[in-house]
Amino acid sequence: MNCPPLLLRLDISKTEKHRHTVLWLPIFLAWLILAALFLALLPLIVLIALVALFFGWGKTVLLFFPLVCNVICHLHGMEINIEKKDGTIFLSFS
Amino acid sequence: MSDNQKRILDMLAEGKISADEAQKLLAAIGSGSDEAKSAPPRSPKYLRVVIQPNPDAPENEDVKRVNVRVPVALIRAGIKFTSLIPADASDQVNAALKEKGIDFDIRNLKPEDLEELIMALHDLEVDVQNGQEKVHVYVE
Repeated sequence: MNCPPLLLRLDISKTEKHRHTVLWLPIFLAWLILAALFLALLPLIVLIALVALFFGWGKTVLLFFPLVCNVICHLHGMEINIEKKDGTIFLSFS
Repeated sequence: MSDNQKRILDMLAEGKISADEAQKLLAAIGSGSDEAKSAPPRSPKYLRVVIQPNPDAPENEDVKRVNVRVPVALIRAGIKFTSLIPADASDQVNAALKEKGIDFDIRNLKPEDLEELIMALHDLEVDVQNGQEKVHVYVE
């Protein structure tokens, strides 16, 4: 399994003020918090899945979290660059 | 004729190498390019979507330039979400798509199809041009 991205580079530049800001956000902290939250809520999630099983949504509830983890783990290399007349925003997961 | 082949012939013409040496070098280059041709196509790693202002359109201050690089692995991971859609919801999605004029069954969306689509994009680039913007989609 791939490792989730650990840092998010946020690059903001304003054309008018000639200001350029680069932030390296430690998103691994968010993953740690989410993992702790998931573990704390696991009994509740299992309970919800059992109830949802009767309505045909059990598989959805149970598989949702592993699939979300899979998506997060494949975020490496994702880049978004938005350029407007008044500035630029660049996001990169690494 | 490739640059390397030209260079070898130039060297032969200048007398820097003999005809035998030139023949050996040309054969070596030929086998190298044959190997390159027979190698399976490299699987693309990223899908690039570039939105640029249309150069033919009149200038508009609101136009943005967007450049998004999406890892193909992320798309593969995302497509697995379709397996979570319950039957009732799939029917509703299909009905909504049909309303928009898209006759497509979302249950038929499989990872193999996506793989085929991505491999097809290897030899293909999508260019869409409307009034204000120009969209370019390709894999790299």
